[in-house]
Amino acid sequence: MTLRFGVVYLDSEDALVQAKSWEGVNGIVAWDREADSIGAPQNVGSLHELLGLEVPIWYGGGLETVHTAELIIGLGCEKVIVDKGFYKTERSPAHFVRRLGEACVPVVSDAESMATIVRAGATYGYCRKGSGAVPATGLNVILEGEDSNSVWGVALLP
Amino acid sequence: MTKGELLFIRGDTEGAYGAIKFYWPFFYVARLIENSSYEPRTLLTPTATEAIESLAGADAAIIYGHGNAGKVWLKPNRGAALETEDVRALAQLRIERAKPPMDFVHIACCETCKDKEWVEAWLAVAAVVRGYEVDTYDPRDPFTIPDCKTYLRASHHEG
Repeated sequence: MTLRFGVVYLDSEDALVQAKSWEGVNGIVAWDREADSIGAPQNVGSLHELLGLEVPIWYGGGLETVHTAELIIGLGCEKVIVDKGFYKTERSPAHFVRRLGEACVPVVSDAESMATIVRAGATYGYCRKGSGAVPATGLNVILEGEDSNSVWGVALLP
Repeated sequence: MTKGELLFIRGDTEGAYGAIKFYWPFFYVARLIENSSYEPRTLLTPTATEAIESLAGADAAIIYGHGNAGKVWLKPNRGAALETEDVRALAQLRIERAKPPMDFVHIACCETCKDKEWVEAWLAVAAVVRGYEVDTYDPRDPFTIPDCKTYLRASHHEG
């Protein structure tokens, strides 16, 4: 099965307009680019506006702790895309998966990180464009689209 | 019934070892839950003019970021500030637009309310003003939470 997601950048002034422009998608991936360099979500007001739409929102950006990820899920996001925080310590992957369950979508950047998230028991992985990672059996892999402003392909590979 | 507008303003959050930026999403969500009867709107690092224009139409406001006595910093690295004179201009603007006093303004910024003129200026805008006369965060003593002071308009009676 393939799902289709739209992408919205929360730090854009017209994030809500961008989100409303996606029609017929299964959800929206909402990126907070400002959050990545800071290590915590910053455009939470904009995210809250998007959460008023009747479409699942997957949030990504600056989630370096489980607490912050839980906060964002508590706000109403269906899933959270976790990058650096997931790999911070040896125990981080298992900790994130145990606390967030299927809501946790770790970023896969290479074969090694793919192996890490499979070992941790994650059910989803998010492959960045050009990461070259090979999807592992049993993992739902989300693949970035060719154009970051277009609908993103989401391939669910059993 | 239409919800009143709660305006969040996040001003300058540079420095302070990143703590103020890290705390922002927790602060925002907690205030959102506390004030669920309002419709939230958020401004990030506005100019003083943008802040005044938005505050002129709001029913309540929460301001977050760096501050000093009698001012909140709006632009990164203390680039621009909302000062007492701006708040007086805001009060005048709301009178001209026949807007009633805001339900409250919560100023979550260091020591702004140490300046009594600043507090008085806000009391011409809002029925209740909450803010700090001391630093809100000390990296050498991060677990001490300072008192948030509440100031009421002379004509306002709670309860």
